[in-house]
Amino acid sequence: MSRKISNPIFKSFIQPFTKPFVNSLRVVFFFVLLFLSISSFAQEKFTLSGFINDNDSGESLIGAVVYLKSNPQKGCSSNSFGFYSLTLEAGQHVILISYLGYQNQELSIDLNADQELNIDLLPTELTAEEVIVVDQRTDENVNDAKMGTIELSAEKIKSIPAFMGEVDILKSIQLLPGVQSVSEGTGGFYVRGGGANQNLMLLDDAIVYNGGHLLGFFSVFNADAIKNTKLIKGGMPAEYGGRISSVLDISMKNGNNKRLEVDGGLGFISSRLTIQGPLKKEKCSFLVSGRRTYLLDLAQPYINKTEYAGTNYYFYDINAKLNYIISQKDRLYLSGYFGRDVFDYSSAERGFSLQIPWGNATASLRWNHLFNEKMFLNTTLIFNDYNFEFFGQQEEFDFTLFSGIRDYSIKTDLDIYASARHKLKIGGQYFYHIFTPNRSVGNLGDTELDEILFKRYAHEAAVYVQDEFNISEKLLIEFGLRASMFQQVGPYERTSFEGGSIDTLKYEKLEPVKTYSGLEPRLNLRYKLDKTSSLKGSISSNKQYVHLVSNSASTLPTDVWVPSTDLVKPQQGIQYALGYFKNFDNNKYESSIEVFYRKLKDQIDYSDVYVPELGEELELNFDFGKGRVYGFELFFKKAIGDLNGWIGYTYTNTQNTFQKINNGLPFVTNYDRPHDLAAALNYDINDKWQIGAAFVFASDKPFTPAESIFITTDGRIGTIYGERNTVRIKDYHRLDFTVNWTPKPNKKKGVKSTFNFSAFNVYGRKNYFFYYYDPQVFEGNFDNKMYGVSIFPTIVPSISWNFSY
Amino acid sequence: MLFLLAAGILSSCEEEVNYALPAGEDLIIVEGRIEEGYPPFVVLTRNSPFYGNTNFSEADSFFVSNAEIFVSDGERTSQLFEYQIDSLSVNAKLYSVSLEEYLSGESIIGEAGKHYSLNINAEGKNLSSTTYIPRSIPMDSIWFRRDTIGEVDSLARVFVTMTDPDSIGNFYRYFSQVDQLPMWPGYNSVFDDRIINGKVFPTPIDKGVNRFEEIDFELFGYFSLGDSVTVRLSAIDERTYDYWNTLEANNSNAGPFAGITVIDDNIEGQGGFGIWGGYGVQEISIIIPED
Repeated sequence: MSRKISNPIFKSFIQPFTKPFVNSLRVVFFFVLLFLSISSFAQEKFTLSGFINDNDSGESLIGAVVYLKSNPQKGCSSNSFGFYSLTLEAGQHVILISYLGYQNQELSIDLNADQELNIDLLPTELTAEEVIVVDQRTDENVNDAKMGTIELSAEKIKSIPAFMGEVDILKSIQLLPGVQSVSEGTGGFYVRGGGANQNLMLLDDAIVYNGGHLLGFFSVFNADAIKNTKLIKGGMPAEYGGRISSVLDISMKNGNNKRLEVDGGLGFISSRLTIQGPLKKEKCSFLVSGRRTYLLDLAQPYINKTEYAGTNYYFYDINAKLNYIISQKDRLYLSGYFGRDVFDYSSAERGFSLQIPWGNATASLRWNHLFNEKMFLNTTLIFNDYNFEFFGQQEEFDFTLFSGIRDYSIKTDLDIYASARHKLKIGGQYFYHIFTPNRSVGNLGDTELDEILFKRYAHEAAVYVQDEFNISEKLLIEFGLRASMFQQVGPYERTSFEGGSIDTLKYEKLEPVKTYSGLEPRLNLRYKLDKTSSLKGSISSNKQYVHLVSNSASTLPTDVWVPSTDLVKPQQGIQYALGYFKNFDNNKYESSIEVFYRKLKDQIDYSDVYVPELGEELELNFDFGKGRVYGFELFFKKAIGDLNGWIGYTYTNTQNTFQKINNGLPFVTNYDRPHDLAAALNYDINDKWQIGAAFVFASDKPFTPAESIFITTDGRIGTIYGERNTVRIKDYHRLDFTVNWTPKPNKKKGVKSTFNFSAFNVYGRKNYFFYYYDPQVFEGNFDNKMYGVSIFPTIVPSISWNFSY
Repeated sequence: MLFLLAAGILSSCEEEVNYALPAGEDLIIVEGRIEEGYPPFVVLTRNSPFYGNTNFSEADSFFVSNAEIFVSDGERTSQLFEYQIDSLSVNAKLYSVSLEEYLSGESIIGEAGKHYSLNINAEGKNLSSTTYIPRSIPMDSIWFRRDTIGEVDSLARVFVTMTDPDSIGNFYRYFSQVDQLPMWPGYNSVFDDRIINGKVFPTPIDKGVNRFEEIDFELFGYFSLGDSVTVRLSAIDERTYDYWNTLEANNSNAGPFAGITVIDDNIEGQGGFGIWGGYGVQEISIIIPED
């Protein structure tokens, strides 16, 4: 007798999912059939597979290329765990392995059976003389089907000038075309006109919900613990989903598995320390990295003498990773991140005190398993949490506020190196989300105030399949399909006052409230025009089920994530992009033009008349609308040589339309900057000296003009605003400069020091961070002024000392 | 916001920006009120360009004269007439019922539980609105506590106990009066019952703010020993709450971390802006002794 699913809750969870799921299964079978038909014609082939590592630290290398010397078109790149698999015809081959920043390696192999081969690459910096090998496969940008994808290694990021000497991933990527920052010094980033909350930020597969410390001036990603950063602006592969704008996929270092290594730094603002090393040589390694700011700690003796005693601000974070190579077939990685910002404020005279801690925590346990030389499985268990707390007290009033989001998630991805022509990837992910948009308790004297508690629960799941299909030398297709679903479940209660009658909807635990599902097709195409140039096109359709709605233009710790519910629909976006890629001078120079157009549906914002209140049900204040963005990017890069760098220009045109904003008329987004130019240049003078510079130019972000004012009978001034975001005053530009000095570059033993001197805003441009109006009544007249505030109006020099042992 | 602390203040600077902001439409600004037990009154003023040099003490140009105004409760209609008052810091003009009508007891007087419509015809503009007077909430008690801020030791904090009804959706606006001075609203004068629904609770009452004078934020909110204090707590409808709530947020939150707030007014008709609000009123008084 067969068992039937009788639980209605389970059924309703499953049903919306089955349809897209069955559809994707069909696609999988189609491809499997396709491979079978292709491979049946093929002659005898064998597979070379293994891991690619850094020779010194044993760190796995992501995106290293393995290819045939005789036919560079035949090759593959290592995945995010450093694994590669290359299927070749039986016989003698010469293969080349290359990776930027490492010496090329040439290997002769005699392939007459499937073979495992782990490859260790030597970093170029350790060679006596500078070896610049310009190989044929540094043309990934032309060869790959991917568009709008840029990878930056931690080393590259460290060569870019850093604000106050604090190397920062989020600020570095803002220098790339198509990526904009909203304001000076902040890490919130906006990709091709999309919102900051529409970026998927991943740290070792775990979602990071709030990427900023200190209002976004510093990112939560400690560059010392980071190995690789991948940004996907368009043509998002089907393995990623849940956000409609971009992906920032960050991989932490595994930890040196050959020797103990200690790195650290002392800066103006913070200190860092990283310890990594083998627990069992070449089998098991760990990494622990921490940093802490201390600007106001140093001022404590002074602050404690004032009435503000007890006021302090700092942040810290810890990255930790442990990994274990069980065998060539199985590997385990445990990684975690914990960070907190802590702000305490007290004013004795007013009997007023505040404590505001907030931060992220993530943990992921990943298990790699090789079924065989062609099938690589990664399964990850993920926990992530972001929360914000606020304890305030003034006289008899005390108040505690809490908001946060917590996820439990499991994810599995199977890489199938099916044949030389097909690389298939299948996987799925499931989340259980717990949202606490708002919880507050308080006391007024002896009276306990009503506890306000809004909690939301949801399941989110997705399955995907994608295939990279090398149809011919010229044509490469990367096709993917993602089926996703989201279900809000109980306990949930909502009271509606509509039409004068009071209605209460009530749902039990895990009872479905609202279910959304859909298919997200993805397509990337590459057509090679000749050896050095190609045309690419991409379409990607995305859904976003969780939302962060902010009425400010910057990332704030108070920003609250909310799920799709019966009142809030998922956001939808589709992006079309077309690009031309051309390399010059034996791939020394890379260039590209990309044009993009995106349409956005069910966007969320607050209405014009929204005033944030304690204890409010956020959904009831939302307004829904649509948007569209178009633009183009020009990119020119010199990746190789002592002098390297890039310049990028982006034109963007955004437009949003919401019913209750701007009287229903279209308006540009708060972070709209039509013109954006950024250049980064780096010059290695010699082993000891390295200099770098970065220049940014961008249109002013728009603001809403105050058109007129009036006065009330009690002397309040009311401002009547004009059309939203229609005025720009002063363009933004800035030059930064950095020098790295390593006194003893060839020191092999003991402490190796590097000094970093940097200057932010070299020529002291007064860029406005924001504008504000200050209407005043003065002797019976209105005395109104508008101010521009620049927070870094002069050059900000800094020095930091970094060491490694 | 307080958070800006560490990074910004290091080196921030601000400067006046002279940008030719676009001039808006000429509007008639309506501030009309009908309080429980009192006849309605309406003040009509003009808006002024942001960089304008409108002198609002010049009553003739700043206030709108010769308007035809009617207030109706559905049964009775009263016309409002223009008066000039010189007692405020400005020579204000306001409209209210005629003295004859008021004295004869025929005029409209605010009553809790009733709806009132307003119709204005001024300078070729037809403006209208409606409001409602909710039932007022009694205050059970009033008391004070002595306080000291810095060198000033003659301060008093005033509290009242109020009882919020057991249904959500009550909105309040409060005012206070010292001796015979005008009744001024609190700095943030409106609140709702989202977190105090159905509670009996003590609430501190900030001293009303005369915004025509400079505000002393150091001693803000405190009364002084010797003050004779009257607290007026008014129950208002949601539209009236929204207007004052958005108006109070309208100027305080322009900055890097917040968008602008548009004032949510309740005046219908082209060329008009403002509020017509009903107030259900309760008052309670206390004399704070000299020492």
